Amino acid sequence: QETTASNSQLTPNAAPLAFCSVEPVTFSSQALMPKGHVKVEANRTEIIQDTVALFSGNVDITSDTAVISASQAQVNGSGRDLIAKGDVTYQDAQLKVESDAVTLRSEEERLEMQNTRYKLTGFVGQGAAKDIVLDTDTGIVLKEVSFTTCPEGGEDWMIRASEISLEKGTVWGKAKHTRFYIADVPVFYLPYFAFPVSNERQTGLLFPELTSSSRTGVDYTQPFYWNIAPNYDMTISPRLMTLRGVQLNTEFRYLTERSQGKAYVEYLPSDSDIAGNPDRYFYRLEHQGLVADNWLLNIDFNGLSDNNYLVDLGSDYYSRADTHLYRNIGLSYYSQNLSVNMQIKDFEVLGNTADSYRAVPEIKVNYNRAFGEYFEFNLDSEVAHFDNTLETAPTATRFHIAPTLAMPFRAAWGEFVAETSLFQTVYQQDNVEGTNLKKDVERTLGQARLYGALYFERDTSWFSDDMSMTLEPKVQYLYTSYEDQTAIGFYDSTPLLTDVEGLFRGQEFTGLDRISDNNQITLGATTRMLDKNNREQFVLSVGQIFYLEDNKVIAATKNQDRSALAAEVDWRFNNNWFFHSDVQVTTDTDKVDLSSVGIEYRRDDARFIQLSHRYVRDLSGETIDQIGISASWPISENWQWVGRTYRDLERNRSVETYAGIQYESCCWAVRLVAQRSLNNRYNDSGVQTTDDFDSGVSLQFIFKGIGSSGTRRSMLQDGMFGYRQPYSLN
Amino acid sequence: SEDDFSQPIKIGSNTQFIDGKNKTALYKEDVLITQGSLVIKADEVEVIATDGSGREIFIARGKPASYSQSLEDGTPVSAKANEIRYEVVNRTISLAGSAELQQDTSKVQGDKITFDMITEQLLATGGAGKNGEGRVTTVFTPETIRKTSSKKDNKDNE
Amino acid sequence: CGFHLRSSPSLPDDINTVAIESARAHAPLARALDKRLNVYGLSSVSVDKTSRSNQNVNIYLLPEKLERQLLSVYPSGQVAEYELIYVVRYRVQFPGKEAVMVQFEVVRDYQDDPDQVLAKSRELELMLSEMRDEAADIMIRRLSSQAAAAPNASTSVSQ
Repeated sequence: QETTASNSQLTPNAAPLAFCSVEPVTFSSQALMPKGHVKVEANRTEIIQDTVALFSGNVDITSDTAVISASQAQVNGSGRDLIAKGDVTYQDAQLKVESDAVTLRSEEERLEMQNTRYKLTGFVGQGAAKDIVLDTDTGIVLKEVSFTTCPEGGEDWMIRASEISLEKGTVWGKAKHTRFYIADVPVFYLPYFAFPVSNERQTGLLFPELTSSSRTGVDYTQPFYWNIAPNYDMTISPRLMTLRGVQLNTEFRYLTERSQGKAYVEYLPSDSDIAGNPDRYFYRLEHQGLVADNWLLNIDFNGLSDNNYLVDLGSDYYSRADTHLYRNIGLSYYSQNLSVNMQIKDFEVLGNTADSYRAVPEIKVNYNRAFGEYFEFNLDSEVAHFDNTLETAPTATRFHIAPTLAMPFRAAWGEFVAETSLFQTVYQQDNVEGTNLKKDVERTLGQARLYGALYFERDTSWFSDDMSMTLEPKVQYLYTSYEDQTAIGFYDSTPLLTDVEGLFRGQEFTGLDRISDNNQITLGATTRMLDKNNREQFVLSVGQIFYLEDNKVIAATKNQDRSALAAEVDWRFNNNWFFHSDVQVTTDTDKVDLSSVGIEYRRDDARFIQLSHRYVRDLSGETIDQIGISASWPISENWQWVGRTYRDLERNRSVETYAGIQYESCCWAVRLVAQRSLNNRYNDSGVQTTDDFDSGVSLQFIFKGIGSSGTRRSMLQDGMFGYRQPYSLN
Repeated sequence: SEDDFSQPIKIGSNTQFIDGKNKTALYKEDVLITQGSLVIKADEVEVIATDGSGREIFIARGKPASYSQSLEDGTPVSAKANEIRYEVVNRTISLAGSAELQQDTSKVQGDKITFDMITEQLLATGGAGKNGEGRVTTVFTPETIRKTSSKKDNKDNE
Repeated sequence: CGFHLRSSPSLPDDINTVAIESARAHAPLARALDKRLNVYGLSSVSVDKTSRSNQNVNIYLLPEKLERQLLSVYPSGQVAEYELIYVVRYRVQFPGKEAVMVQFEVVRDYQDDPDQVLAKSRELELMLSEMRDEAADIMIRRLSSQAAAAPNASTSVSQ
């Protein structure tokens, strides 16, 4: 179903400087002069022998890079050297400075300003400096300088340094002998401190992050950004953890005209919180690029040192509840009718799941084209070799080809498809001694599918809004021949979740190692309420499969003559209230196999309350019966709290309880988070403890406004249940 | 340049009124005055020669009137204004009314500009108008920088 | 009870082709959209920069995103169920109109199984292609209402 939450922006950080009344300084370059020209306007001008010119009476000087205004100015060498005095204002693309005097030597391209107050252009960043020097090759150097992102007059925190340099071309400022002041109280001293000064190309937080938690102790990360070239950059972030030691995180990004990618390494030498002080690491390589016109290369390759890495040290790419990391390399070819996809699919599985299969390689070729006026021909073919991390487990090479002739009829009011397919598969299996698998197996199956759907609609009113209501009945007859497949191992096949969307798939298993015999009719219907923008306000789908014959491949599990009834409803009462539920009921025994209910009141991304319940009778041997409440509400303009608890009713205990409160002002924010969650650490034999909890209080201090537009991970995304990881799509 | 001033002054115009007694003359319509490299073009020029030849005062008016001459070192100077007043004896020129003077390649615009050709000293005032229309605008261009550095060199090795 | 068969979505009649462009070469969503378009009697032309004409609807697909959110965990704390969120972002421009930015999500539940990692990755691929087809249907269904709502291009902007 389609969620059209009012604002599906994932990180609900409020507009970065919403609390600041101060608008950042802007600079328009239209006012500048062409290269090399200098224009001076004044009430009175005196030029002597075309070498010295004296200007007085609100003098405005415009060069090709900056605009200077002063009460008087002297230009000699006809525009080469300039001295301006009397409350001088200098502004260029990087900063705006008020000072007593400005001297410019254009031959050495060096400009100096004395006792200044400055503001950075583009975002709120200002302070004072005894002396500012602008030099084309070194950039900007500020001496005896103070800097803050708080607005003038509201300097809640400030950096004072003997020198800050903003290097040319980098987005990075370096400060020497830096003292941090919070409300004029010196807090700590750093001999060397670097911070981002513009938010051009950075993504994520480049700003120092200071937190403390029971797993890492005080946790201080200080990123350094190195702008190697316009399309290469590197961020090196040493991370100091009082409980564990110093970890070095390095991210190298590249962007070329035909490809882009990222190499990322985290390395923690001798973790002092674990017996034996092991070295611990996590690495990730991400790449996507065209190797030739239609050839696309995709890499998503990860690895880590031990099972507990994610739980102990966290990661931006994986949640601590994750079970495996991807090690995929794929090369694919696309054209109008033909697509080829070659993949090496390997995984780093956490825990002691020793025998997990991997496809090294898996080559899929799909050919599809219209065939005459009414037919469509589709050929799926595949070659795959499966091996296993456990040497003794069976391995196999599988050849599969599946030609399909289909007669699709599609129109806006309905869809009919008649399809016949042949599945021809050949296996060569090894390590089969002592199992009922055979070395060479060949399987030939036929399948016929008839699918029909009609789309009705009518105008109606729904809670006094006029809507268009649709009714979409669907019916499908599926026949698949039977062949005994017990001689084939399970390599990439496992039963598929049959929710409403899965009923019409005509496929009971993933992969190809099991193709179940079918002689069944599937009935389903969907009704939607669409508002005038064609957006779903209400969607109800129902469906069930009726088996005309007991099926033999998975005889054990299905003894009723019909599948579970699957239903799903999504309802948006009005702009604030959302309801979602899906359920699967075994109609003979009226037992609920799976149900989930969610109700949410949402005003905007920072204000919502969500209640949810999930029940699964049997999910690989376990019963899931879990209730959760998650809420976020601002108390006042600056105070915001977030709370969430998820409770496992089956074992009557809370899985995660998270409470956070955040004070956010214009240029800084402090966040106090208390959380208690299931600690799924692995013991030495790779088995996870099941009733060990991990609780901690973490204080996070965030300098805002420089570089990053808000905190890297808002409280909503923090913790177990809040976390959304990005997948890399290939 | 200096020898301009020893050259004869030629004046051409469509009509002219000479007042022999108090030695003033008024030339009208396409007036052209030349003296060596000095050229003045205007709609109307009034010449006051009461103090005898070599001490004349020319007042040229036009929309605008224009003046050009090449200085000691050969660099050209040109100017335009509603009224140009050229005093031969002390070699000064004063422009009034949207005046503009181009020297080398630095150009000065303002309400009143006076330029002493011997000391090559220029003074421009803006008349302090409310919204800046009385301001003096000076534009330096890159060639000036290249040129003056060469002038500086030959000054050094003089 | 007033139900009648659905007519094809009321697109302004001078539009019958949809030009699909995508930020990433060969975006799978572009292929899914292309496949579903002819269901609605619209022909699609995947366009390179040069052949963009102002006769048809221009859809520019931004890179798609697939994210997951934890729904439930096993007693061991390992993930049991995820919510898969497929985020679709694109710009649509009708002839003579301003381009409009659109974003929506298609959400599906997905159960993880640490013992069947390879099989589960194939299930993920299958669900992803089904979510792309569903996204293509939603995009097409919304074309008619977007055509009406899009602000007129300021006359100076000639497409």
